Amino acid sequence: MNESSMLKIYSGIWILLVGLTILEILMVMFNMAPIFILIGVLGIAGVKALFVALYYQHLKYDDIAISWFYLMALFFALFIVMVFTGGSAVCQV
Amino acid sequence: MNNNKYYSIRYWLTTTNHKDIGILYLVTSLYFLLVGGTLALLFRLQLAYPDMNILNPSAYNQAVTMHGLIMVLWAVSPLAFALANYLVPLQIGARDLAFPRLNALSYWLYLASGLLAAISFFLPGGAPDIGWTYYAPLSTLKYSPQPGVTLAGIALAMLIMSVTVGTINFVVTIAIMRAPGLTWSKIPMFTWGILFTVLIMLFAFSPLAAGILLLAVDRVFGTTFFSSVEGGPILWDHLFWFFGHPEVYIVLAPAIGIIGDVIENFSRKPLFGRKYILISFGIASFISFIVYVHHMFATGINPIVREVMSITTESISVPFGVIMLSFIFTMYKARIRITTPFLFAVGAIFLFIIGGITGVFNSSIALDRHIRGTYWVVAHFHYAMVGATIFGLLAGLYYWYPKMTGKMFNEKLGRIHFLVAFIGFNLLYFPMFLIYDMPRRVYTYYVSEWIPYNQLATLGGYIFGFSFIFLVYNFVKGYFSGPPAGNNPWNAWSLEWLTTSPPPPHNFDFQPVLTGGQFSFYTNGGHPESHIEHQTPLPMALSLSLAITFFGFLVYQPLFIVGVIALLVTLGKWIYSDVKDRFVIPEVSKAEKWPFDSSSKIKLGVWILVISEAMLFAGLIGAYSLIRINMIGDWPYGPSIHDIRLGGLNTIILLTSSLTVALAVAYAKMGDTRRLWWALVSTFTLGALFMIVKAFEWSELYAEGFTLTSGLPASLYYVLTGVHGAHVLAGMVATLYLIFKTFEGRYNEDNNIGVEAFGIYWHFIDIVWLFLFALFYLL
Repeated sequence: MNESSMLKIYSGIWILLVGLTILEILMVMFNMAPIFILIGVLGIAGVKALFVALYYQHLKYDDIAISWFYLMALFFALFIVMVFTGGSAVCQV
Repeated sequence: MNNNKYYSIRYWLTTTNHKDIGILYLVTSLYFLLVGGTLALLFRLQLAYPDMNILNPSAYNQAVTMHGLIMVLWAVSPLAFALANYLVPLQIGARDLAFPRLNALSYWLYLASGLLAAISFFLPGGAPDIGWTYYAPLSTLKYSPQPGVTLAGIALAMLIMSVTVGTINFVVTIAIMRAPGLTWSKIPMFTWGILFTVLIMLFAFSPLAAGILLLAVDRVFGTTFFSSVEGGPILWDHLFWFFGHPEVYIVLAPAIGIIGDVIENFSRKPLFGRKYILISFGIASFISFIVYVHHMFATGINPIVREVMSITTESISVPFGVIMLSFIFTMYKARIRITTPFLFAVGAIFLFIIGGITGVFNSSIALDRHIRGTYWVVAHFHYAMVGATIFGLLAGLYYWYPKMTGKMFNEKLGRIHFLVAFIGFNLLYFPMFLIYDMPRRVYTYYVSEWIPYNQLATLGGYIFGFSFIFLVYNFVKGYFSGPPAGNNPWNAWSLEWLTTSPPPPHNFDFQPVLTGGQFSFYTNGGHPESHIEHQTPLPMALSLSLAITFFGFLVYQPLFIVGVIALLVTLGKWIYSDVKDRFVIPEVSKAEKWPFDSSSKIKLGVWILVISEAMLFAGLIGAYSLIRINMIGDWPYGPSIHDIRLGGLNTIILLTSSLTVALAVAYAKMGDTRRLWWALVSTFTLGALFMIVKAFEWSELYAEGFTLTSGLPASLYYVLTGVHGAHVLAGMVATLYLIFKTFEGRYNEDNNIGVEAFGIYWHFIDIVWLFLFALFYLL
């Protein structure tokens, strides 16, 4: 894909990202149930991050091995959060 | 080759050649080995009899703490990287490491950090006396007010910078600078060992950096991350041991690689099950991250997590079992040549098996309750970390000494060294298994049955320590009067033996190529490929300035100003020399690059940096998660504290800056310099706008009493958004650099990698903010 056609994709992604940000804010402002806010807000943040990584960071067009590195970091990040919180959560019971 | 330059101090202060840096690492790590070893001999003397007065309790604690810190972080691992620096480019047929100047920076940061840690001995209250694990709350200001604890902690942060830079360099070098034909399966074991080491480093060190940052903020600014109920010791344990356990494998993996190369060569046949060794190596490296809670069995955390980690801990013995059995089967029915390196390699295997088997006991939660904090554990981890590692590294030193010096050592003296070291080592550590009920980290004891074991250990310690005299004498004598080694004294197969001993600065006169299992040299029409040697004092000056800045900030304030000025001047000079392209290392024209075929050195380097940064934020967000879940009910709802509109505005500002950066990359590739310039200026402006909004938010929150020390939610908010803001600022400096280069017309259709690499970093900053916005403003 040539660079000039990428410009349209970049602009489209930006509109999507701003739209998702507004959606996140609206979810909170309309006082949805906390569990929906938790899942919704973190889910939308994840989707936005995915679009930034795939298109702006060019992960979609880069060597697949870079994605392996990213996935590994994501796995360890989730592992850290799970073990840190999992360890403490039951500790309180 | 002009040997006179090696007698010039200026040369050593400014060299960027990987072999010189390797020698600098070697000398420095041996110095720290001497310091750490001397401390050990001191406290072994203290323990030879009950109630000895060699060291008082405080001095004993300082000696034990600094022995652990120095040996693990400033001696053993850097000793492995001395060999790695010297040999990895040679083994893969490269001219140098990917980023020679950063390699020098890595060394000087390492040296400066080590000296900073050592200075703590001379501060009021002395060096840290809290154990190398820096357990909280002992490490907090309340219980350890001496500045040495902060200074050594900051030294550790500097060392992490060194490690990060080194990791980037080695990953990129091994990934995309291998000689044509040198596919992954054909890489020598030592280089594989270093690759696994740096990959573990990549994911392990940054969460520790997060822990040190939080501890530093606690100690300097008065927050309560590690002295509160909600964070406290458990938070530190998690952050420390997520690094601390993989660190064992960081120390061990290079030695495993060396043992593989040495056993293969002196058995005169290929490694048995080489493919399975590599698969096992990879599995063990991965598992090393998911076992760390076995260091926390006694803390009372979630039983399910403990049970899972008990199983993973036991399972890690399987891949290591495969590796050791493969080494042993390689020697089976082989025509073995018994030499000094071979003896050390076999000794390392023997000691590792003892260390490994005793480790399996520690994976049992029930047994852990009894042997935790005893000399059993001391014996176990020294068999694994000292026995296997030091004996493996000594095998490597003897093996490659002829390559590094061009001379042979005295074989008989080498064998005597092995024998004395082996006896000394086992006398030192084996008795500790038998005093499995004696508590460690205590300056004396009163049980008479423990005396003979302690005396044996002390005797063994001195024999082991003094055995190194054989090594030093042998190497010094060999250097001055040993017989010439020739290019390949061991009749080895790997590439480093095909060049001269010692190798020329450019390693090979021609491009090495591997075809059909045989190395040859691509002569490129008879002309050797060009090699540029650079000398620069900037890495040394930058490291020194940083050390002075830290020392000044923590201990002697007037030096802080001097350090900051020196730091800014050095950074300015570094950036200026880059803008003027005074230090350009061209991409390798022919190299084995799969699976990074479309990656350049700079781009892959920035990707690795981003992964490292991702792990830093993973550590910080892990801390946030742990504290928040412990504060359920007390944590203020995000919108009740933070202005969602301002947070949302800043999110849109950063997203827009990501768009402008993406556009900048596209314009750079299209060769549209004018639009590129505008896109970069827009990015800088948006970055500045983000920082202004952030500053406004902070001032408003402070005015409302939501300050850094007003509670954990506030402390976390300021630290996480502050670290993120620092990244935005760094990105803005990089943008200025790109704007200047664009202004000078340096970017076009063919040369735009700098813009693309910057984009990777900037978008990462954006991604981090997306989560911080959700975690602090919306939840």
